[in-house]
Amino acid sequence: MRIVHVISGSGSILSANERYALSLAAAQKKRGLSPMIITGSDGILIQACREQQFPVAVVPGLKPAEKPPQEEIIQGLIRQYDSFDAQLIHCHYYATAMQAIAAANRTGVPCVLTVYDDEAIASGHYFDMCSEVGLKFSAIALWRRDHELLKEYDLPEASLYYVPNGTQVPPPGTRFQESGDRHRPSLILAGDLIFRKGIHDAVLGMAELRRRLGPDCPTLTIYGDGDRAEYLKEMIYVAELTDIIRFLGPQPDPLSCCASTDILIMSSRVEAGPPIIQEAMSRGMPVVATDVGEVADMLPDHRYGRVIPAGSIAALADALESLLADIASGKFDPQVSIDRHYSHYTLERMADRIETIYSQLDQQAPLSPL
Amino acid sequence: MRIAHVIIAAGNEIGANRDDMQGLGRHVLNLAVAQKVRGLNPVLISNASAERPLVEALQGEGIPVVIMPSAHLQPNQTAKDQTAKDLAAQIEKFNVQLIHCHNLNGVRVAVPMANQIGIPCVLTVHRNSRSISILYEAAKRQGLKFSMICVSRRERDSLRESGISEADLYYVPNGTRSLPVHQLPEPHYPDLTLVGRIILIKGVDVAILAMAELRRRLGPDVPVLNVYGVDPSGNYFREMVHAVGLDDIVRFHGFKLDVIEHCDSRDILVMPSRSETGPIVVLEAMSRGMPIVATEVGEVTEMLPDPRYGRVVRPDSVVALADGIESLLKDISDGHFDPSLVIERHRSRYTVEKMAEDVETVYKQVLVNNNPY
Repeated sequence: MRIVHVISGSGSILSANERYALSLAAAQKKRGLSPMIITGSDGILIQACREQQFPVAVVPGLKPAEKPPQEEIIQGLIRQYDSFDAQLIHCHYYATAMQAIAAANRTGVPCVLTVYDDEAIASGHYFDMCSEVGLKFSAIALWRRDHELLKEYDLPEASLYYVPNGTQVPPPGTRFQESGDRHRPSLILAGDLIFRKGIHDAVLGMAELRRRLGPDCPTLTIYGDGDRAEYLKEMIYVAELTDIIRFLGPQPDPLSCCASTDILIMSSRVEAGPPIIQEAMSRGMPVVATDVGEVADMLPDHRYGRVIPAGSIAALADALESLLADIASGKFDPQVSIDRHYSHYTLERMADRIETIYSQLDQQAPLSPL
Repeated sequence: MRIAHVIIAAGNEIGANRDDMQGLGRHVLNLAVAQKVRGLNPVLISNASAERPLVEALQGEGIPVVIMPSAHLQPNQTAKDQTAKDLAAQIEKFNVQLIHCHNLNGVRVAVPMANQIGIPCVLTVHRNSRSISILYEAAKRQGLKFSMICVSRRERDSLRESGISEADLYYVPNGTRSLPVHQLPEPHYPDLTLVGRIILIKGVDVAILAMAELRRRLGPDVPVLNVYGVDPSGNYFREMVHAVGLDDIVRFHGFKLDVIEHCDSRDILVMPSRSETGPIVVLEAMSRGMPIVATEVGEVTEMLPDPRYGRVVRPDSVVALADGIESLLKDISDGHFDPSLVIERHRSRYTVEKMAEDVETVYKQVLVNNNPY
């Protein structure tokens, strides 16, 4: 089956949905499917596609925009779909999907949109607009609540699917970095420095932790960049935390920079199925994460880490303190997390579920061109 | 002229807190009361999410309020259709000649119905939102029409650049009534006052962190920050104050009506928002000659064009806000701040009477455009 993944590709570092699409395409290729990538601009995404030897094309002007489909872009997409003889279109960002869906509908090729977080859900007007211009597509939600919410936007229930995220299993024998002192793990946080990632909550959690632990407070390393970087640096300065928090900029694989005995913090206010938690699980890392998206399903009890309410500074400090105590007393067993990842959240499992959806869409009656 | 002010809030929408009254509610209250004084007949039509203090204040002024039984709390078409039917019934019952919407949900529900029966619709843009141009485009494709009043020039320019026709855009800055100057006779070291919903977009976190910076600079001379407003986050900002050790100088007082009217007019208003259009609280403070430190958002630089009126600082910057407050405190202690200048600027540009007159001019234009014959 020939699948075209449509991704915005506008950033200087791969975004979560771009990484998802690339991982999925890699797994599909391994399963004998033929994935292709279409993006809006040259850059790091194209480079990543070439490294993985995926056919890739640029359709100029295809960029995130909540605007009605533009004819020039639709025609550019149709040419690419035709030249690849596409059998299915898979969109990965709602703000670029409208053009991709319109082009798919015109050519009669089935189309599916993965909904990554509830930004799309919150903007109900987006689905109103798709409905107003008569676009037809199916949607894959990465978490159960999005799946339920999508039903409220008048999307036919039969066109809605739920497939949790999946990540690669580290190859057998992979050796992770070891912490210098197994009783003093460091903390690691990776993500865009924007509000909804809750980095400010983590910084304030560190202020509270320092207040409680004094000189025993661990250090926090933050990987990422974004429009709130300056604000966060000011916050760290005025809260006098410069000695325990450092920014190291964006990293394509931040977990490879830390020991598997370090603690991952995921402090987001909003997420769908954050793959970094699954990646940390696959390495047996302890995790403290906010109760957003699919997180409570990923980390169902204290053996895997701590799940805390989003936007609570005291709860974050409590969880870190308690998990540090578990680790120090040898109560944290990394193998439990590794096993859970293997049984629930592998990339192969996700690719298998998505292929089942593709088959269903392929068997449905072809769309009549608009 | 019978005007229906329409606010249809969704259950999860900011502004749907029933025991709160935000800038939008204060604007509607000010405008409707002034319209009544001018001989128009305003009515508020809203739903179950209407702000209770707004409803009570309007009723206290003898302005009819209709709370529709259908609560448009779900985003599906059935709920929208039912709300539109209920709204149409009220429009007919009150013999409404013009619908004035104050949020996007109101437009979604009112415009298709109003266009069908030939009643013009106006939307006041209270929040800068990219959704507005999308909504406008979608309406245009369906042959629907509505006009917009922007309370900030910046918002009007931005909407014009997004492709909205100039003929559908009007600019009328917000206006407030003139509040009495109130100060106790004894000498007063100014406190800082912050009024608004306690959420990140309002920059409450920036103000709290600026207090940490001010304490570092001023030591025991640091002023107290009094924060008034509903806190939908629960305990987040209190936890923040505790974590950075500011419990003694940052105080939360919850929502109180008319805070600006009752505080000492020598206190400093801090407006640290990350986004605003035409912040009512700044105008209320101006009307009493209060010194103001506000972020450069929406209409603020028009309101406070130079340091004689206060300080306008970069949004989202802790250090810039601390600098602004420190420098204004110094102006005040040196006797360089003159409240009468601020009062005069409010009186000449931002009174509720001026706003109501300008809005009425827009109504007349919209009515002519709607029925040119």
